[in-house]
Amino acid sequence: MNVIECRGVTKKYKRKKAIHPLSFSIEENKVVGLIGRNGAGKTTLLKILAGFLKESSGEVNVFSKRPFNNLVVSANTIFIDDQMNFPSSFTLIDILQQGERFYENWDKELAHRLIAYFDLDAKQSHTNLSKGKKSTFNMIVGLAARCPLTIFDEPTTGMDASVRKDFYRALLKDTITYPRTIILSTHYLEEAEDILEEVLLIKEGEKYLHLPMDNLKERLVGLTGKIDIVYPWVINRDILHTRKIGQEEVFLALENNFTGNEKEKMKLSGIRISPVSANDACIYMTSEEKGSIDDVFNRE
Amino acid sequence: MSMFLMFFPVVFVLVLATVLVKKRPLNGKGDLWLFGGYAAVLLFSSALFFLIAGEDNGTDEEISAEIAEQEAQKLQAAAREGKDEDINKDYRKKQWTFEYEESQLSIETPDNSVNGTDILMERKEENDQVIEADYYQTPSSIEGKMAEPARNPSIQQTETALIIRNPEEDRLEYSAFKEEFPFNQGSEKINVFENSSLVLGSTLIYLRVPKDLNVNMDSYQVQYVNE
Amino acid sequence: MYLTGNNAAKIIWQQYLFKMKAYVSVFSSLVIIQLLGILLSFSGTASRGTSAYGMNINITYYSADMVIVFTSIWGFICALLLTTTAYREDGFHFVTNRISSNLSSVAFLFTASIAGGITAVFSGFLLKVLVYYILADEILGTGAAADPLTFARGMATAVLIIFFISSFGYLAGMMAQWYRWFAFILPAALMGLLIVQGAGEGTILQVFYRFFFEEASTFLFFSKMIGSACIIFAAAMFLSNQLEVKK
Repeated sequence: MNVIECRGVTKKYKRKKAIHPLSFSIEENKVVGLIGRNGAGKTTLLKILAGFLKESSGEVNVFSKRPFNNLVVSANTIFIDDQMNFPSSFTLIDILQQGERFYENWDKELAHRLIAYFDLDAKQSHTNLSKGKKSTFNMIVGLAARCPLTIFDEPTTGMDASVRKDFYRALLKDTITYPRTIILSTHYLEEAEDILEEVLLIKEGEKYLHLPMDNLKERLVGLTGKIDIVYPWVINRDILHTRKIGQEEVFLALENNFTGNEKEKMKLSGIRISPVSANDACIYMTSEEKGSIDDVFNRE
Repeated sequence: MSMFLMFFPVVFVLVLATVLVKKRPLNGKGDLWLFGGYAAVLLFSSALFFLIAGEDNGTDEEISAEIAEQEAQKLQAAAREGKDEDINKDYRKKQWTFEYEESQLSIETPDNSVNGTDILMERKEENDQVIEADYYQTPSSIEGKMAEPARNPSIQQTETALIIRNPEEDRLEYSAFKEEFPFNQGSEKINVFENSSLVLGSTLIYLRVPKDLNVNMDSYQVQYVNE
Repeated sequence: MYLTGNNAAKIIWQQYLFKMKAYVSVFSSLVIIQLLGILLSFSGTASRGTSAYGMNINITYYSADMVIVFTSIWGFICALLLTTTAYREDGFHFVTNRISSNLSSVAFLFTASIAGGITAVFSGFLLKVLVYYILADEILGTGAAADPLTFARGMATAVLIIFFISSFGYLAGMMAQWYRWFAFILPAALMGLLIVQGAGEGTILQVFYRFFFEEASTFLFFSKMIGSACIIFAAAMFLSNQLEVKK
């Protein structure tokens, strides 16, 4: 069963188009990473799914209902980001109590154990938390709510490395026990790699790729070798990334659709073939076609 | 200008309310304590108020508005018919008698045109060369409270005239409690004072002059009785 | 994971409880506003003077009229602030939609109006007790409602007036959210109306005042207050439907 179905969804802000026609669907109980560069439309898409924003055209279905202004969707969805404003008079414990009242599946015990583990002061006001602590607390709310659809928009903003690790670990453990659909947008794909089952890559408001995590890891291949030896192999192929290594060698990243035979021949001619990590693959695929940051500095 | 003065407190309250609600100077518990404490103070003061009001009620109405009105009318009616004997002697605050042997008299009332009193004059049936003057005053009812000015007018005799001067003004300050405007909703009382009562008493100077005395006077100020 | 059931009435109730807790500061601001009103009422809310032969009478009247007016302004501000983005979003982290959010706000405002109306009327007693003990003048007239029924009716009137005024705040706030410039246009229009027409006979304000506040029948007055407040809140909800839920 598909929890989310989008067909030709667009979103326009005044003049600017934030989302071009976008179509995809997400199955129940999948943990999906939403990847894209800043301004690619990730947050806009997530807010449409959460029912906060109204799509400009197209069809969005969450739990087979249009999410905008829908009580059923709202009751079964939680949207966590670093902009959550709780009333400033609320202490953390107050917020947890409200969450318990609103969400039927709320796991009070989990919330309190996580609060204790992350050393948060339950009597502190939410407004006074540091950025990292705020993110940590919001994440706890997101986990404890146990909503059938849980959306995290950049949940790890401001967290330090060990907390980020703990967060993903907690997410993994909890989703194993209580499976649910989770959409998570992040800049640090590497850290989330282990828990993501699928990746939805968007670029300039359009769907670029939607594929299982394992496929993403094998999607690209890296070729390293002398320029004149490597280039004949990549004629008529999309080179996603180029980097000079030393004076003569070059590193190229491109889609891994070489045959086994071709790879053998490349190896024989001295080209080193390396896998490209999911994180790098995403960076290469979403970067502007013409060059990379290096080109800015390598002008002659 | 007055409109802007009127707006000033309104604007001030607007700003204050906004700041207080937005800034949230207290945490949730403090807010509740403040409100709860205030509610308790209000309850206590309402109990106290009814205690005070209950105490006052016994001596509350010294003179009702109706009685003050009636007494004032009775005084005027009796005086104008020349039946000054019918007037309640309690209301006679001062009496004068002047020996006067001339045949001409002027009555001067230099300050009676504003907030003045009625001056009535009756000719006696004899020429006894005596001018008599009485000053009468009925009490005013101010929210049920009896009020009378403490000072009387003065009458001064010169060779050819009587000079009647107003008493010095007695300043009476009162405080009164009023119902709040929602309590008058629907009673068509547009004027806020309509449910409050203020009835002024009546005052009168009654002159009796010898039969054939020739009197010069301003007929707006002094009127003959029975003529 | 199963979908949780939902019941609109239950969610409105939860949102209402949430708002009662979240916006509890409106109640402390109410206390401050009313205390200020009481303080300013010490010089009397009305006075009447008259001169007669030999005396000059001046009566100063004390009542909580100013407190009630201040409380109405407070109700207006509370409603206005509830519609601002920050406040609207506060509630949107939890389960809600437009209708439940608006209805719970209206319920909250009604509760605030009840608290405001009752305390405003009772603040009259506090004022009068203070005047009695501090100013120690002789006091004429108790100014207490004659009977419990009149008292209850007066209190209900105060509550409804505050609720009615707050509905204007809610609508004005939504209008300003819907179209930014209304934040300037609305006060300017009101001021303009006052300056051009004054507050005299036959003006729009006068007609408005006549229609609502000179209604002789209690039943009709209550109906007008509640009915108009409902219409105004409904208009505000209609406008809020044109807004995004959360930006």
